[in-house]
Amino acid sequence: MARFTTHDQIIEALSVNDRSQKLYFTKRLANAAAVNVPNTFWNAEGMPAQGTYPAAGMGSAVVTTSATTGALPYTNPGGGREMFALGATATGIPSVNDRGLLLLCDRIAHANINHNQGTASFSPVIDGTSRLAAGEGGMILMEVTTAFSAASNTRTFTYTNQAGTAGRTTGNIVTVASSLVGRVPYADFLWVPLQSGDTGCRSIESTTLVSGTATGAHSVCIVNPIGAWIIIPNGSFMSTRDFVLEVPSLPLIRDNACLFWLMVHTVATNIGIAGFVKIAEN
Amino acid sequence: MAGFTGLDQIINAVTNNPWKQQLEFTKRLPSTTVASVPHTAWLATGNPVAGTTPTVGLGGAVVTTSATDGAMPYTNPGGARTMHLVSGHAMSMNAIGSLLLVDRIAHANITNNQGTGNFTPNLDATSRLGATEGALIFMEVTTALSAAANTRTFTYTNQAGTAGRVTQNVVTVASAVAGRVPYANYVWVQLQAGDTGVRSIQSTTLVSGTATGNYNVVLVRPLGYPFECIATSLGSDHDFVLDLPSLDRIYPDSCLMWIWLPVAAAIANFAGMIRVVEN
Repeated sequence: MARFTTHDQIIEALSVNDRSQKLYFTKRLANAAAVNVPNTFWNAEGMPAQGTYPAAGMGSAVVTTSATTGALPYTNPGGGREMFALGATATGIPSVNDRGLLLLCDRIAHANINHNQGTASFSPVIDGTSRLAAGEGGMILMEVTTAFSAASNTRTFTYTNQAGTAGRTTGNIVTVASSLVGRVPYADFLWVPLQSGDTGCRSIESTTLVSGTATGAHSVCIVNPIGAWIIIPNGSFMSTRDFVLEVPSLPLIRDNACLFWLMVHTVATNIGIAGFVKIAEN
Repeated sequence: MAGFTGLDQIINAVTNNPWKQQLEFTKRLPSTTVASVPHTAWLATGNPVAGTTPTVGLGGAVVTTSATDGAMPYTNPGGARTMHLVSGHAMSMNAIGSLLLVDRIAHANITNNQGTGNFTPNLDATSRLGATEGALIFMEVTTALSAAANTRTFTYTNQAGTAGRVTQNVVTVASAVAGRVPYANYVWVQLQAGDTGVRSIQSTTLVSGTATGNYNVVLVRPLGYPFECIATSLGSDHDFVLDLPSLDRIYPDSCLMWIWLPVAAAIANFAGMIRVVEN
């Protein structure tokens, strides 16, 4: 049987079978992060190397994988085994003020569109199904990829929900004027709010520009959050999280998962992060 | 069968055999640190004694072991047994920050203005890496750098055995003091996109700069999880079996040392213990 049935199997996988990997990262944002707002490390320089965005347009959607530049590279499990995250550690660097909350995510698919993109269908659709179980949905994350002009727009996305029901529509997404690259373009939310009753999104089919002419560009991503927040109370403190006993979750790392970091910052700095994720297979 | 098939085997190894060692350490850095910048404890005095710097130049690379001054000494596992890190604790009596244990596998020392050239011999970490495992590149200023920045890269063989891989630019910090990493913002040297580690370093390229000084180029294998020293005399302990399961293997002859990430500037001291068990 693949997966872990007991803690002893974890011990055996780590010691006897040597079936674990540590995924190291050391990254730094190019711009000062927005405070109390989620910021992406996808396009931060460092290790892994800086991720890129497709050229803006409704035809830009692609599935991202562990081989996509910007992802934490790792080796998929072999022999019918499956991979799980056991824990992680991280800190902010190079300032004690580099603090906040870090969240590891599988970036399943993304597109990049202009901020003033009119109502249209994605072709291909933004498809998260390759790394979602039946009945599971991802979250919709947006990242500013070209700084916004000094006005706000409002748009929605039409998507297929966790149950496979098409034609679902997000709440209005009101963008923040003059948003800088790297932050989410909306205020007050971590993810794009879904339609009432939905727990996730399997694919995004289209977008509707409700109002506004502000310019810039942003990504539209389907992501699967992994594990639990890593709380960094102060930069230079290496905070640890155990996903086996402390915060029992043992999140499944699906084959080819495109792992990257999202962070909510408490101070506006060109924050860096460093640490590793421990994964093991059985 | 080497390793542990379950918690019971760890208990048996610790109590009945016993195949456990407690490696105590108590160290003091030689100079004041720079806040929020990684520093090596290789040159720190105490127990174990301060390490030494290899001969300067591209011909000075050596593999470091548990018998090298600066390493935490221990006894290799016997028979066909393998040794694993099961727990530890650490604290500082005068500073706050984080401590990370690493196996210092190989190192060389070069001048900051070392020209483009080949390491002969290579910095070779393969003796203490699993198949397809890679080490990380860490650097340590050994003679303070002069007041300008240089840029260089390293050409290496990656975790998969692919040669000719090139690090991203390493930009040194002007006037970097001894003990710290010579670069800013990162813990490790940034590898080429797609790489997870380094098996050996073949050469270096001086991209630009004439600043002087010296630093070590070190291939390290981090072990366990970092220990947080959250306040003076208030450290942390970690269990690597149940709480943060990792059971990292300690290969025979591993050269165990510490990296210190300080929150504030201080001539930091630190002390503690790691526990290793074989089976």
